Parts: sequence; C-alpha cells; structure tokens
Amino acid sequence: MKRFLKRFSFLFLLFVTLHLVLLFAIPADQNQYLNAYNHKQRLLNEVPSPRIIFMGGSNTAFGINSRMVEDSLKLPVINHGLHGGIGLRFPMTEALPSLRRGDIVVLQAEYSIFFEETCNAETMPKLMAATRWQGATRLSAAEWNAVLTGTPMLALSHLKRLLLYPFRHSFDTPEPQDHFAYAASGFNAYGDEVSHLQFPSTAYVASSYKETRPVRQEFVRWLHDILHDMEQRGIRLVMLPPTCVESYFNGHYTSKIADALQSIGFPYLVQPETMTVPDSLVFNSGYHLNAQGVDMNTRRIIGILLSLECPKVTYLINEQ
Amino acid sequence: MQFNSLVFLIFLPVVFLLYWQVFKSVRWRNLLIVVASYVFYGWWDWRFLGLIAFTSLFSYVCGLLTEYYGKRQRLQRIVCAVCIAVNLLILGVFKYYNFFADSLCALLGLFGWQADWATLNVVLPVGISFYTFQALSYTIDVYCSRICACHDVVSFLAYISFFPQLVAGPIERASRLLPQFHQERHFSYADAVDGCRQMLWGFFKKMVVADNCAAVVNTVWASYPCEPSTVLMVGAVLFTFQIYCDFSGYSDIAIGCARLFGIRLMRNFCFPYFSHDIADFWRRWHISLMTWLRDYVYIPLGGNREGRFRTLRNTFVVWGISGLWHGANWTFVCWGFYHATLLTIYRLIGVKMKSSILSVAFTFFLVVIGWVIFRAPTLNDAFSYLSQMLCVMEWNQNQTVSRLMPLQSALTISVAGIIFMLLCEWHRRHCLHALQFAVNSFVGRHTSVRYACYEVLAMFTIAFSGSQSEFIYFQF
Repeated sequence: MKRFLKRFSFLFLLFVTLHLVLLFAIPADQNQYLNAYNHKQRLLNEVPSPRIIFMGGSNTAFGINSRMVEDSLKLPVINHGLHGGIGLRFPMTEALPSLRRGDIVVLQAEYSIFFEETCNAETMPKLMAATRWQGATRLSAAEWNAVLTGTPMLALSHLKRLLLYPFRHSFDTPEPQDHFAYAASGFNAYGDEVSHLQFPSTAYVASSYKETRPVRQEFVRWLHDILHDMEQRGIRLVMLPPTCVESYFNGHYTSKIADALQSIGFPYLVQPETMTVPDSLVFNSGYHLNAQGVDMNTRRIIGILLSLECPKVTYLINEQ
Repeated sequence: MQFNSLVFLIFLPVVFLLYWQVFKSVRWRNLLIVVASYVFYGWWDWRFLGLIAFTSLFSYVCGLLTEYYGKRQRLQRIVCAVCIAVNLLILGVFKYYNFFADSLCALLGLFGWQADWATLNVVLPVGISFYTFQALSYTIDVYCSRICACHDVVSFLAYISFFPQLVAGPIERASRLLPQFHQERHFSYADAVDGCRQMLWGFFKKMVVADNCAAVVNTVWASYPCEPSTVLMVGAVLFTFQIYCDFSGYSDIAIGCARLFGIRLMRNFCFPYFSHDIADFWRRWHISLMTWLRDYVYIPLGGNREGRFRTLRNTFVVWGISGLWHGANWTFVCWGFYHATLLTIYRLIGVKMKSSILSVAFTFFLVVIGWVIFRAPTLNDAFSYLSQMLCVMEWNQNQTVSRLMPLQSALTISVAGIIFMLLCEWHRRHCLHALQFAVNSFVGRHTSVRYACYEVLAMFTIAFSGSQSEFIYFQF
C-alpha cells in the first residue's frame, strides 16, 4: 500500500511539475485573443465618465462600431465584450469596481448563458494567463473547474509555441494578415474586434437545434444581484438582447429568457427578434457579424439609445 | 457524480484511503462501500436513493423468503414471481411509462381520440436498468438454487449499489460478485496499478475519442437533412466510435476502479470492432448484458435446441428485449430486430466467416448501419438519414469540405484518437485492456518509459478532452 501511494504521489507531482514548467518557463503569448481583456480593463480605469460601456460576449466584441456610437451620442464608448467562453460573472465582477456613477452599461448577454455555464476549459486558462493569474483568487468553483481542466491544453499550446519558435522567431500569435486569426492585435482602441471586417465571410449553416432547457435560476439570481448593485451605485443599465443572425435566433432564443429577466425587474428594452440580422450578414458564427452586419447593428443600437424608450440615456445626453 | 468530474477525483482517493487505512474488517469495508455508493448516486439526484434502497431491500427479503420456503415450491415460486414482477413494474413505470403512454396517445389519435391525460413525464432514474437486472439475476439464481440467499444485508446492499458499476454496468451476477463482498480483501499492488492503468485508458477513450466524436456527430445529426452523403457517412462512423469509446471507456473506468478496492468485475467489451461477423460482434459487445439475456431469457425459452422456428422466435424475443432495455423508443426496438435479422440471415445461410480484413470491414459496415438506427430520434429520421447516406450519387467533395471545416478541430482530434486507440487495442487485443503491458516488453521493463507513457497519456487526455461529459449509457 505504501509503495502504491508513494509511486502514485510521485507521478502526480511529476504531472503538476511538468505543467508548471510548461506554463511559466516559456515566454507568454502577448498577442493571444484574450490579452485584449487587459486593454479593456485599462479603458475602464482611464476613460472619463460618463461613458457608454458595452458588455457581453463576442457578439459585442464583433458586432459594434464604437466610434460611430461615440460620434452619434457624443459620449466616450468602451467595448468590453470579449468572449462567451469566459462567461459573464468574471468580467462583470472584475469590471464593477471601475464603473462610476453616471456610466451607462449596455448589457448583451448571449442566450446560451441562461441555460448553461459558458465559461469553458479552453478559454478560462488563457484568460488567467493573460491576466498573469491575478484574478485567480476571485474565481468561482465553476470557473476553477474550467481553469483546472483546461490547464493541460494551455501547457501543450505553450509547448507548441516553443516548437514553432525556430520557424516563426516569435512566441506570439501571428498578426491577422492573409486570414482571420483570433488575436489581441485585431482589436481597436475602443475594444472592437475589427480585423475580421477585412476578411471574407463563411456561409452560416443553420441547424435544427431548438432550445428546450430550463433557465439556470442561480445565474438569474446572480444577474439580479449584480445589476441591482450597479443600479445602487448610480450606473444606468440598458438590457438588450444579443445581436445574432435569424436562423440562430430561431433555434436558441426562447421566451423563458425574457420571462426570467422580467421576473428580476430588468427586462429587455426591445423585442429580442428586432435584434436579429439576415443570415447573409454573418462572419463566421451566428453571433459574429460581417462589416455590413456591424454597420446595421450599430445604427440600430444608436437608434435604441436615442429613442424615448430609454429615457435615462436621453436625459443624460440632454444633460451633456 | 460523473467519473470524469473533479468531484470524483476527490471522492475516489478519499474513499480509497478510508477503505484500506481506516476500515479494516470486511463488514466495515462493505458498510463504507454502501455509504460511498449512496453518496455517489445521491450526488446526481438524492430523491432516487429511496428507489434503489427499496429495490435492494425488497430483493434481499425475497431472497430470504425463497430460501425459507425451500421445500414448499409453490410458495417459493410465488415469492420469486412477486419479486420479479415488482422489479419489472418499477422499471416499467420509470423507464417505459412515457413511451407506452405516448404510443397509446398516438394510436388513439389516429382514430380521432384525445388521450393526453395518459402522459405524466416520469423522470428516468440513472442506471435503473442496470441495478434492476442485477437484482433480478440474484432472485432468479436463488430460486434456481444456483446460489444461497444472502443473509448479510450490508453485503447485499453493496452488491446492488457498488458505485463503480452502479449506473452503467457491467451487470454483475450475484454468483460472481456477492462472494467477493463476503471475503477478506487484501491490498494487491499489482491489481491496484493495473486498475489505475485501465482507468487511464477508459478516461482516454471517453474524454478524447467519445467526447470529440460527440461534437461532430451532434452537429451532423442537428442538420442532417441538408448534409451531403459523405458528411452523413462521417457522422455515422464517428458515432460508431463514440458509442464504443463512451461505453467501453465507462466499463474500463468501472472495472479499474473496482480493482482498487480489491473487487474484480466481469469484462464487458472485448475489442468488438475487430469482429469478423455479427455473432462474433455480439460475443464482444456489452458482454454482461448479452450473457444475462442468454442465461435468463434465451436459454429458458429453449435456446436453439427446439427447432428452427423456436430458435428464430427466441432470437427475436431476446433482441426485442435487448432493444427495449436500451431505451423506451421504437428506434431501439428496431435496432434490436435489425441485429436479430442479421443473426438469422447468417444462421440460415450457414456462412462461417473467416477472420480477414474484408470480413471485419463488412461487419463494421453492418454495425454502422445499426448505430444510425440506434442514434436517430425517430424511425423516420433513421430511414431518412440512411437513405441519404447511402445515396452515392449525391457525393460532393467541395460541399463536404465546407460543411466539415467548422468542425475541423474536433474532427482532427477524433480521427487521431481513433487511429491511436485502434492501434493500441489491436496490439494488445489478447489482453484485458490496451494498457496492460507485458512484463518482458520494452515498456514493461523500463519504469521511466512506463511513467512517461502515463504522463503523456494523462496530459493528452485532459488537454484534448471534448465538451460533452455525460455518458451515453447513463440514460439507459
């Protein structure tokens, strides 16, 4: 028994050491997609209030022209959306201390987050690496689960970068030049992903998927608490459905989401179906829009923010 | 609790250490197994603990009564019949009520009658088919005097609820497993090490091959009406590997885990995709269920010794039950009859297939067709998928590439994982599992090489694991 425990412990320690060496001895990837998170956090700290902050997953990162919004509304804009795979809890909780009285938060949470834990093993360890593991102490159990499960993959990707170094002469993700690559350099100063606008779109393949799962009540409760907290701090909230293509919307949206938001007192400002775009305006997934889609979506959001249905924003703009 | 969850990775070492270091007597160890098994099962849904406890205690009492009425055969028969009926009733209510109620509604609907009142949406408890069959085997064996009734309630509860095989088998026989709970158990280093290896191999098959195949298969099935036939073929082949790696992966983990506790479970798979005909396939696939059905249904019905017609009838009865056992859906019944038909054709023609690449490939093709029926949500979907898949005229390379491009990552990992798995399993096909290294082999002789293999396999297993985590056979 002792022999077994000794050898098993040795193998386990070897496993952990191997990972630590791969994770920390190889220079970090400065251009990986999730490194953009640091820039977005910096914007939150540096851009003066009042400002408009777009929050959500990649639908926000890929779908908004912040400059156009800024020019139309005469308010500074930050696009804080990054990736559905990091969930909403971590980025919103981390952003909360940087939000100030008078800020307007436009939240576009992806539909799937209402039905499943979206923070995943592929993305969370990369986010931790991007933030130099600074947020590790503030992770929830589910996020830790994703980080621990995904760490071997991250370690292997470090090994791959090391092996490719003699050919590429760089440890970083290559710049998106002749094809689209998820990279931090693909974001502009506002936090919009703009590199994809110059690349050709891939056709959207509609599936027959139909969302039937129940809404996660613990997520709805958490959302209520954080939104309530924001309101208490004098932050103005605009709840918008995420922008996606029509086929995707038909399979993934159910009225359970609107009902859940209504029940916690933060309903959608517009009907969810009005936030869809034709399938032809997709870039590479149901939530990622091409240049024409971004333009259409941005104009629509400006219209919503300027409309009378959003008195708080109108009031603020008039006040300016 | 799932095997492939972090909770289980904490749960297992805790139970393992308590089992060998704290609890020293057989009775206390059995009690620990029962408590651990109930925690394991209750982690999924504590409400169904009552059901498994009832099934166990009811079968235990019936076993004692059967023995008590030893010389009064009529009473013995009544007790046995009641026990079987109650167990089947529980299984029927929880597993088949929705199915039969929906079928009845559909049938009455054809005549214009509404029968919506019949549907109840009964929740299916995980693993109910497995532990019910295990309880039935005990009752029948006691009645047939193959074994004595168990007098130790803790051992019996451990037999029914032993956590490694509780939710997806192997379906153990009382004659094999119960005596192990009565015996003194001593820690065996060799057994524990080999158990860990078998678990590692099971995790690899489940997390790398099955879960990545699932990503492709689910996407293909979600949009199969507009997919070209080559994509459907890819989906069907990958599902064939998905279900094998999912289920045999679970069995490997279960058997390996049981060995850590000094318990030996029966083999459930014997590299079935290397079979040279359908009968050979069924001798290698889900062995515990197939032998159960052979011993408790096929042979009591007369087997193949009472003429051609009886043999044919018995074959279809057994395969119908096998299909229905898998799930309450006509697709499973049809899948069972499909295999019964193939077996009958082989038997009628009287062809003895020799093991060759061609015979293995042909058997594999027949099995793939069967899995399409098995995977389909409805019979209509199964036939549409098959007719589209087999329509060679619609093969379109460009469309295939464009459809599979978004699934490139999962597809690459799946294919690489399948090739690696097949090579390993072919190389170790005479062993119990693919990581059973021969003592005199290169890997067996060099500890450092062996350790490197474990580390690399463990790392790749976690790094390339897919996103689907639930085992397919949990729903059965």
